[in-house]
Amino acid sequence: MTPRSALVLAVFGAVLLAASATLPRLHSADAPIRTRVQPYYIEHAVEDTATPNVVSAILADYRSFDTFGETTVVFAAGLACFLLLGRRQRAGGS
Amino acid sequence: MTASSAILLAIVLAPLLGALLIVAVALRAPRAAQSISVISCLVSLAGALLAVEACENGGTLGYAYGGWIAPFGIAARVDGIGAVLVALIAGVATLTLIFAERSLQSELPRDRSGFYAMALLLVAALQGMATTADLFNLYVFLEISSLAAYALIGVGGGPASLASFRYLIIGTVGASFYLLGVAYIFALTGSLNGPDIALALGGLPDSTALLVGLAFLAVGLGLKMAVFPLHGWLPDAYSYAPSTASALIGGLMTKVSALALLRVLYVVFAPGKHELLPPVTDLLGFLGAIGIVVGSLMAVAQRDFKRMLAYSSIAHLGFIAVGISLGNASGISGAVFHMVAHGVAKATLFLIAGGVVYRLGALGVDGLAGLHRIMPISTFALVVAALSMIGIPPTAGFFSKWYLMLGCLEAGRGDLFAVIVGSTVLSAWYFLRLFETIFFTQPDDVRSREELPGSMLAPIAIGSAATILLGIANQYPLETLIAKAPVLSRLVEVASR
Amino acid sequence: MIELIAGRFEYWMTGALILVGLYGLLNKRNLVKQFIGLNIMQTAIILLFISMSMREGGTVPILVKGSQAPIMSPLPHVLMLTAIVVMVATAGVALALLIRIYRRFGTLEEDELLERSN
Repeated sequence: MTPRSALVLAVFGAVLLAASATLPRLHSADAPIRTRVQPYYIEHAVEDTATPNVVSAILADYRSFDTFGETTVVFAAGLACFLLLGRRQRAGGS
Repeated sequence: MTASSAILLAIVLAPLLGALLIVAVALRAPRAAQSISVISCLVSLAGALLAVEACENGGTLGYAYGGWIAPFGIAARVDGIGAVLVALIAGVATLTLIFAERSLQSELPRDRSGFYAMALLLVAALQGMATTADLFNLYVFLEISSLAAYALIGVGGGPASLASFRYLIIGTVGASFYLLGVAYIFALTGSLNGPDIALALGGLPDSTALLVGLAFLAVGLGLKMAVFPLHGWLPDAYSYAPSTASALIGGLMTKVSALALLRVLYVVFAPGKHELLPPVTDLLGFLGAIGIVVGSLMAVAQRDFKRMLAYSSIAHLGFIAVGISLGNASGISGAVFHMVAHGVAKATLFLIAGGVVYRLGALGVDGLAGLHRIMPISTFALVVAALSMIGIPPTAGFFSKWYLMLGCLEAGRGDLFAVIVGSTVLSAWYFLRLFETIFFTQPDDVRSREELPGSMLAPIAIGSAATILLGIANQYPLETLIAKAPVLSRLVEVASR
Repeated sequence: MIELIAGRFEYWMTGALILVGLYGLLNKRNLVKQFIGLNIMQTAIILLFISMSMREGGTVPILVKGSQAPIMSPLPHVLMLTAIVVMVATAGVALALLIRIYRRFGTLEEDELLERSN
């Protein structure tokens, strides 16, 4: 391991350590994640979207634009592979 | 559908629909693919101009995708600054795609339609990045634009694949850091919508995690923006890519990442937690200044025209970084206007490089001797764009530097002021040396006058004309659009508290 | 001390994974190994998000009539579905580029590539 990369990893490790110590405790019921936006999804998923599966409701309704972006990513990657790899000539043998 | 939603959708979706259309019907018809590309970029440009008109004097356009209002849904938001950038993206894309057909015929004969589709995806993603108000949505569009860029660079010959892979690794690390930053901010506030996070941050105690989250966001975007020392991917990527790709990517991608950084710093963090900003902005200003110096010095040393332009881009991104770091209205206005000025001028210069490859086949600086006899109009455009890069009035580059210098003085940063002035001298050095090679060196073989074909010449001419026009008419973008954007008026409040 | 470990175990684990990924990126000379390091790092970040969603006694985020059991947060799962797709797409493009590099240069070791491309 080169000294420079050791330094980078040490600094990074220290930063992650310091940050993890001050992030909210996991698994608690009143973490900010659970109290700010999500109660709305859980309460209104069935009446807004007729789906008891909240994940699907968010994916396909509330945040459907992200899903649209996701499909565009797949399209872009497929087109990229097409451009980069080209078409193999179908010759005999490999 | 309301007017603002129609405008925003047209800006983002027109290029995307164009890409789909090309893949559906025009994969074997490059000419048709080019027409579809130009038309969709023109639609996006029309939407952008409507947005510009709507955002005058502090207006904003908003739209909630799917009708779900933020923070429960994803929101788009365009203010004066966003409108200016959206117009820049659409305009540069239109010019580049008009130029593209002939250039691709010489640099990338097969798969031209695929190239157009990929370029349109890049444009659509950049428009999406510039208009979204949601942090995670920004990540998705960031990755779409990055994938498109990797492909557009990677199809160039020879070392381009390696340069693109290097860019992929570094760029994806940047995007991952950005996502890590979003994870921390999400854990602390529970929201993903920019303005909503700003509200939530106001009520939180300062903590290490918050600063680290901001740092990760900034480093991630800094990698995409090629801030020193995270610029290693840029020279190879810009030099080995096809010239059309260099123009598109070099003119636009780093600027939109800079806009994202601007938003994160001043829309998300400044309202509630502006005391967290100084460590980040001080470091950004410092690194930006180093980038200016290193980029200019390396540009002086280059023998290859495109590589010189690449290092010059690093220097100019340093200017934008310094402007963002200043944190006052003049500095940020200068940074945003410099995004426009540099975007137009650098794209024009890369298009001219593409023209030189088309006509002369090689790109060593020495090979440009006597260019004005072969391609007089293109050479004149080169001179104009270079003057904007140096910062000579009345080009746009002068006015953006003016505002940057004003911002430095207002913030009491004499050191940054000196760096900006010094770099002007350095830019003058490498560009004037270029002019000397072009105008006063005898070429090895005398060639007859052979100007570029119309479809290549028109975008170059329009680009350089825009550089001057934007400079002369700088009141409109600077005063009515950028300076009045709500972001900046709020900054004035915050600073006076 | 117990507080640091008990409530934050997943933060340490994912942090360690990120460091493993970075180690691979920084220290390996083979392009494929660098790419694998990148992939590990991205996966670690995804795991970080997912770990944030669990709550004490929480179950699958599907609303069942009549059940009052608390459900775990659905939003991180949604975001990570998209992030995983992005990760896979990037992997595809990266591998396509690697194939192209191999076809052109015949090697995937960084030092040999530096020689052969100059």
